[in-house]
Amino acid sequence: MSSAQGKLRRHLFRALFLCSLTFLPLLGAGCGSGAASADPDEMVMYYQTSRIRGFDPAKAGDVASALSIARIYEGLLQYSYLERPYKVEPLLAEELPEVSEDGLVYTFKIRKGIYFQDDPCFEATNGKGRELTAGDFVYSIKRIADVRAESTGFWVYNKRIAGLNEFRDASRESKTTDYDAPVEGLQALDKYTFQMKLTKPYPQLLWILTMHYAYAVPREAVEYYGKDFLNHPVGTGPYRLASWRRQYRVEFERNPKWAETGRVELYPSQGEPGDAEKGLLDDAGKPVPFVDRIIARVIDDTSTQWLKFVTGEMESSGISRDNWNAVLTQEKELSEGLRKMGVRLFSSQTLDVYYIGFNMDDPVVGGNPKEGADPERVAKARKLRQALTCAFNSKEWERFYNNRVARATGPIPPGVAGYDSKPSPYPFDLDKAKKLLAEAGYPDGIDPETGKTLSLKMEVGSAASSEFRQSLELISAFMKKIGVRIELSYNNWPTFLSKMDRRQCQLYMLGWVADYPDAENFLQLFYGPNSSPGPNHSNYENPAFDELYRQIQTMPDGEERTAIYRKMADMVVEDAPWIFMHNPMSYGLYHAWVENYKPHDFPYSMGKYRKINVKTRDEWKKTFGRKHWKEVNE
Amino acid sequence: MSLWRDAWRRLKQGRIAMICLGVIILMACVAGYGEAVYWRYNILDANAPKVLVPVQKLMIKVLRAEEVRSGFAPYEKQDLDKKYLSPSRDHLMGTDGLGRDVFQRLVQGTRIAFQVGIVTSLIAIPIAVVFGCIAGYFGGWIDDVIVWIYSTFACMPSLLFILAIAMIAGRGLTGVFLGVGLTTWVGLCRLIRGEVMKHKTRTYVQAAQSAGLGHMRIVFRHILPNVMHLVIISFSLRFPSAIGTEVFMSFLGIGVQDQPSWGLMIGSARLRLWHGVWWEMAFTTAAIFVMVLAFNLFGDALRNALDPRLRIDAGGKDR
Amino acid sequence: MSSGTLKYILRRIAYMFPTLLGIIILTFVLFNGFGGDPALIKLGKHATPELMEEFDLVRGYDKPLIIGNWGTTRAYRTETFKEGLSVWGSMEGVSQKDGNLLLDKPGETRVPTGFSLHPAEYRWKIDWSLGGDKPAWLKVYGASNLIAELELVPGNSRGEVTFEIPKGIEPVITAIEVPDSGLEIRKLALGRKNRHFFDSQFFFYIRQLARFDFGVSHETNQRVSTMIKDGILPSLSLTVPMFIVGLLVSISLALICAFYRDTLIDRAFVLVSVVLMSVNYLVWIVLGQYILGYSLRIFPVWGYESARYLLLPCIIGVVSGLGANLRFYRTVMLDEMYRDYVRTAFAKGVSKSGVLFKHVLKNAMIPILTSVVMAIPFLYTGSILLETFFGIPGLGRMGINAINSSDFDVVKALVMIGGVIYLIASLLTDICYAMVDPRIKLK
Repeated sequence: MSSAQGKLRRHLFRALFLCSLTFLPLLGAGCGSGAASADPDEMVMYYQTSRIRGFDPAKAGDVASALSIARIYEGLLQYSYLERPYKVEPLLAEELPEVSEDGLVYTFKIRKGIYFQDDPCFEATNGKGRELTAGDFVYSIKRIADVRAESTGFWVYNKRIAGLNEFRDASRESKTTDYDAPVEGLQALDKYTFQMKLTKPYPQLLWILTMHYAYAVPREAVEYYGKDFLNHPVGTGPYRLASWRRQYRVEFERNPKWAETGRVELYPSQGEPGDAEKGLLDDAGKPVPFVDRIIARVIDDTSTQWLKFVTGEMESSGISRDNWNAVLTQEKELSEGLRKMGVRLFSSQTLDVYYIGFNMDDPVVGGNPKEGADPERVAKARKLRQALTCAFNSKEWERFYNNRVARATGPIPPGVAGYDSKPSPYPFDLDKAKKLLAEAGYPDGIDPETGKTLSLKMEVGSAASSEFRQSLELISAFMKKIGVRIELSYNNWPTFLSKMDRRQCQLYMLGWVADYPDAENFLQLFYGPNSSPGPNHSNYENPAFDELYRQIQTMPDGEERTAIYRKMADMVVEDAPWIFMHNPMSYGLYHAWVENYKPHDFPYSMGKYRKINVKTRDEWKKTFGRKHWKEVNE
Repeated sequence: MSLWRDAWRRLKQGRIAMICLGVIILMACVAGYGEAVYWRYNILDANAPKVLVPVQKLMIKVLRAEEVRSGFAPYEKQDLDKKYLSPSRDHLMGTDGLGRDVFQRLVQGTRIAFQVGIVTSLIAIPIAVVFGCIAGYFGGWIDDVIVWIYSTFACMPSLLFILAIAMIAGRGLTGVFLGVGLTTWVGLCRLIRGEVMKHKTRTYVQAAQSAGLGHMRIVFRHILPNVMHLVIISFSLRFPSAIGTEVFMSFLGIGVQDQPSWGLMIGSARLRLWHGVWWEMAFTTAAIFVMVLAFNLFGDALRNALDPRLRIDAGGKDR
Repeated sequence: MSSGTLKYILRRIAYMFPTLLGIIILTFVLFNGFGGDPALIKLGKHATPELMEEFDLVRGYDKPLIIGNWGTTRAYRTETFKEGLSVWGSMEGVSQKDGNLLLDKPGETRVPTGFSLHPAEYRWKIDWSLGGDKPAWLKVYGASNLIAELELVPGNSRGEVTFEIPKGIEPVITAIEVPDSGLEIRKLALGRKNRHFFDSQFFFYIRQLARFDFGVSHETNQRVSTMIKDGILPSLSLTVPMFIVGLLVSISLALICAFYRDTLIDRAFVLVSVVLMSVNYLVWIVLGQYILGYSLRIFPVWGYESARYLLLPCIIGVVSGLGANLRFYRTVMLDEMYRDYVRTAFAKGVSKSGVLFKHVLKNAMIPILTSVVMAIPFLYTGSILLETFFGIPGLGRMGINAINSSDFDVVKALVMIGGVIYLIASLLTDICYAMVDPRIKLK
């Protein structure tokens, strides 16, 4: 053995040892992100969140990100917190806009004395946040239209605002977007007056302006941070980002600019009947936000989430499927143990619709009622779809989901104008289903021409949870009852999307989550020109429906429009391009110390109204501590 | 061949190896039983694809099975009144959260495990054998290309690569088969290539060449039988690691979706473990343990009997 | 270092490049070739052809895959009609026949494009069969003026027509004039002119890699390089201590085995190692978290706040890897024990422990080092399960989330970087070998 060899080995050994030493400090350095401030009087709220996809209002498209963005940024308008049905209230606007008679020009007065938070991006003012102006809204909406900004929200303004599509085309053609190019429909008349001109009336505009696609973003920040803007939010809102460890933890703290500039927002003093009894109006007229610091953690695992909730480390929790029986009794009330702990249950119906869609292009189940189509074939296929609708056993379905869902009777969910509480003309009714099936040309599910059972193929996205898979089996069992065979085809999500996009599904299962509480958002899913690759994946096309849809597109809210909504919903129910399955309920558990909580379908910007009773929490932790909850849990 | 007889004799002397072999055979029988149960219920299911209709008719005749119906197989049968029952005479291993029989599901899990072990081998081993033989025998640019391919595959971070392939191939068993099958052939390929290169210079090969036999014939008829022991050893060693990967993937929701696999069972048992339901976890864990242990020990013994000098690493380290 | 060794090292480095190219090609084929449609996934429920076209444009997905003069456009996607009629589905006078599209309404049928074409150069490519003796026509109109036409002669044939859409003519409509005999179309494709022949997704990918740019995650909107930067430290802070402790423990145990070779202690260790190996990794984690974290409350159950939070995952990692490691290092040690120099040393009367620590351990350093270097890539990928269970925001957890949400760019980058690290690690091992033993030659 040469000495060189020995030397090398010694070196290697030492290197390995040193290597291990250098990495050890990583243990400490790598973790943590500074504990919350030590101030004992501070009101801190902890909650559990999904992954946040950056703080760029133009890009987020999911609930968790939108919630986080809404803590920092604000728009002209917001939803009412307590009042139902939902109303739009001014936020950064002084009042609701002045609308021209033709419904095309909206003029907003913007509140004076609203400042952006301090940030190095404001180079002109040495990092001091500047005042919000009308120009910020012009810029922010242009940014949504900029192809290069890759916003997910252009659909809200597409072909609606004068000159904006031209702006978008220009941004597509050139490498850099010229934000100084004027857009006719977006103008800052003066520092505090913002005017929007539309190409045609857009009755949903006010809902749209509460969304994060209309939040005010300072141009300085976008240009200063460039591609990293999504990690450096600069807003006017009640909070600012204190720290963010992506995928793990995000912390917000009170925006000191509010106190500095004397901005005051008040807790609403108007509510629904019953709100006062629930204590929701106790803080009426008090300045918000109440909570000083908000800490959210990303916890993927449901059992860890639950653990964190019952030990009081999180203020709220959903109820996972596996926990359902441990948490709620048969009567859908909280279990004894949780009640003792002061946990409260909030349940509300969501505005989501889940459905099985038929592909109206399909030779068997499809057949759009339009000119030139063979009326007999159209009628028969319609009967077939109606038969399948009648065969869908909603009672069993609700039971399967432990009554966490309610049967949907049509495209418009309850709580939205246009919803009709009258029973569906095609409820669960096996006899009727069989009759309709026979009329459709398949007596007992047999195709008389071939003598074979009618077999339909249903495409589904991922089948990740066993609950979902069992629900699919349940559906095929329902259809089996009238002699129709359902063949299930499992796809991964991208394949599923692509199959729908290319109209290759016969049946498919999907849900729609509302963007705003207006029936138009649901009815557009049946508008002919929206067929795949648009959102109308059923490729439903009914000239009469399309005509009405074009009408309501520009119609202001009112009795007349609601009547048309009803009519359109009835058309859809009659033609049955979907089997309407359910509107899910949402259940949330909240600890006793969370005050001013009211379920809301669009809870963005509502975080400032929440309150934590720190004293109750401390006492609770002493009483229930770590020992007690284990018994409760079992 | 005496090599095999010799090896078998050596193998037979090890008591542990024989016990393990017994366990493996027993497990295989369980898997076979699971397969039978599975097919019996799936072929006779009313929702089965149309192609199976003649088979259904045959089965109804031969097995005197009841008519086609859309009921649940015993491992799927739910009964919410019977959830979380601890082991008893009716349910040997208790029931899970939906009142399904853990024992029946465990049997199905064994079936999936064997499927994964076998099918992934059926994908990986032929690739390895064909590539290895051709590269070793022909040398030259063919060898270069094959070495290039397998060194590229060898570089891939194994588990992530498996998951990525499964993601693209689509979830479910197919994803597991393709993911594991397409990534685990490199080691064996390398070994076979080396061994074939050695054999190429032997006299029997040269004799065959001068007798004018075709190259393919020489490679696959004459050389291959001499390196077959490598295949056998590699098969026995890859089996447990393939099972482990499947458990892992299914647990993460990327593997098996709609059949009771051990990974899924651990996943659901874990959530209930917090509530003190130990049996599903315990029995599943035990089943995996026994199976993998048997394969590990038997694989070692087999290797010692066939080729004591050989070193094959069973699987990747990253998890 | 001799010149021979230097030459070897240089050649070894040169040999790295084909493999590097292989890694690039493999990741590209896997993710760009077989991956899903990122625009659809990203835009979700509000996807429309035009929005998808713009997404493709910004991300480069409209370019041809490898090379070519024609890219794709969402206005009309290539259809072969085997799987259905796609966008033609709801039109009148249109049906499917033997996997072809049959147009049997005489007169002009409008091709259902997703939107009016943007100004650029385009090409229609069509495969048709036509009975009768009258030709059919494919015509492109811009603002009702004919821009281009293609005569579809009777019989089976294929053809193409290229045309340019100037600025400001809208709408652009493509129509097919069908004669009385009807027209069957086997394939219809629309391409948009590429900037040049090599302006493709593949070269786009290579250019990106050259800038160490791994694209943007469509799930988190972050640049992938930022995400990797975020995740690498948490991953390493778990895997490095885990690896080093594991290594030290298993080497010490292996030395004990070697020392007591063939005694009861050695056998017991071997048996224990096989048993440890056979316990599934998942089980270690589930039980470790349940018993040590939850029931006994020795360690925190979840989180990444301080070193204390890493202790439990670290212990679990070490224990679960112990079986395989112990077995491996024991074999290494025993191999060395049979060498000549060990016998010589014994013959010279050196004590057993002296031999073990002075000679065997020293000589075993090379295989140990190899395994250490080869473990580096695995340190980088992190531990998927441990990170998921214990909420450590590392690369493993990131990878599994990306896989669950079909976030192709992230998975591609992780796989690609893993491959490159492995490549470098194996280069380092070979160089070490060469420096120790200058006789080593390539192959």
